[in-house]
Amino acid sequence: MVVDDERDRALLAAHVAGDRDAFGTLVALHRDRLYAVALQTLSDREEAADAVQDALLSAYRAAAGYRGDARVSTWLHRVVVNACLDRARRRAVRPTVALPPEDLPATGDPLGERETAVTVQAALAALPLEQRAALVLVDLHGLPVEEAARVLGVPEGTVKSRCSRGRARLAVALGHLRNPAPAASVPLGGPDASAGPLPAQPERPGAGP
Amino acid sequence: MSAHLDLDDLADLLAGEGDDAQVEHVAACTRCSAALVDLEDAQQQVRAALSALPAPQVPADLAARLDAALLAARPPEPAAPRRLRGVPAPLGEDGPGQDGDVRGGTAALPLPRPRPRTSREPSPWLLRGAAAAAVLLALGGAVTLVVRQAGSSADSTAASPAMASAATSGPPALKVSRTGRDYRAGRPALRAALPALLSAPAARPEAAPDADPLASADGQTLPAPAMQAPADPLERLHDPGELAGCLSALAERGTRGAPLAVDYAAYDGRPALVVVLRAPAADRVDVVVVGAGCRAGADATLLSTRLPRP
Repeated sequence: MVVDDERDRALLAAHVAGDRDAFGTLVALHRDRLYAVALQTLSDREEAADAVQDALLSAYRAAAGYRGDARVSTWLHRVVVNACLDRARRRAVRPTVALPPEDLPATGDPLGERETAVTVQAALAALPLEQRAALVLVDLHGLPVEEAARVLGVPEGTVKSRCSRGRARLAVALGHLRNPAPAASVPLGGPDASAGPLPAQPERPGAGP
Repeated sequence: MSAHLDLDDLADLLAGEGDDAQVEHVAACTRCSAALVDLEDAQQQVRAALSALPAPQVPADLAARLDAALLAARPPEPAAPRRLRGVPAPLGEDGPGQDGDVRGGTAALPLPRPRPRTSREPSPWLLRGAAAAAVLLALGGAVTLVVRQAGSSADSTAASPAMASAATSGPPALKVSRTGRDYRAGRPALRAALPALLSAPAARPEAAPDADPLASADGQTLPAPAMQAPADPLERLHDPGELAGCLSALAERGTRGAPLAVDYAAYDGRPALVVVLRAPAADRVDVVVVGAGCRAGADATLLSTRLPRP
């Protein structure tokens, strides 16, 4: 990881110094993961593609402003996630829909796993946007909470709360909760779930915005 | 605290973000205590389900778009001549391997530079018109350039054989709109406008010097106040040669095809040109929003997207 970040920092520095190929190389190293984050956050292939493109162009132009206090990959994720959140908020009048099955990559068990993946993806798409974004980073892509907090620009406690609340809603939606009675007071995300203010309750006061 | 905890409260407790009152309540309440254990088990299953989701990979067309967008964002090579595809290099210029000949099979075509014009030289409008036609033909689309200008006598004013060819060869004709609309909303706004942009009337290429670029083909001034300001940054792109240079820069990127329509408009409060191009799939179009700085070799892309063709 440290080696990767040193490589990324060297590429970014080369780009800022005028190396015309450095940024493309950097993007090639990260674009699969950045696109996956965008697609799972936005649940729309074209929107995700546009968000990644806009974000990377912004990063290209703003590279000189990278201060180096976070990993380069964290910085790139943050730019992409912000682009996704901006797009999702702009389209708030439209409900978030699950990825169509053809946008989900094939799995080894096309019968069972694919069906499960579609179901999970649909439940994920119905979550409030902020919870979904946190879960995508932490549970789908394995970012440590600290790094996810940097990406999202919120305190770690907020990320923990959003992830846990999101998992709870998913547990209800996927039928994993044996006694879902407490969920009655927490409606799952409806048509406006992608917009916010999303949690049914305010987030923990101590957890920050 | 006497009321039972709801799902968000329990989730916060599991995240270690509950408050003291909630902790005390769970310690004393068998119902909430059981619900907390139940939720913890369920969350483990959720985490497993999420981590098992297959990770999507960048589709090839998006990879190409990204590469193209980043190429387009590059500043121009400092000392290299701008080159356009398909134009033979003059003998004795630029031997092989020169910087700037990065794409191979290209030849130098210097950008138009303002300089004093002698009485023997043709009008810059004619030269640019011819360049526009040549560039548009080089794009492979045999595009009919449409620029509405006052006093056009349509069929009789082709500036050169190339221009005449461009004017009379096959479709698609480039549709030109001047809505002045701000496409700030991005993709949804572009998608909504596509039918109108693709059905805008086409006109003939025209190279009338000193014509009023804000007048329509029938001599009527176009109702486009936003485009009529004297300091309109898009004014340069009303010049056929400049527009052709911009379109050539766009068409060189990725898998984009021939330009189909343009709209002199705005994006996020700034003057912008919306360009609709053919996409590899017949049922899609590429839509690119460029800034007023779009020119040959530098497309100044502000937004790029692929949309269903209406």
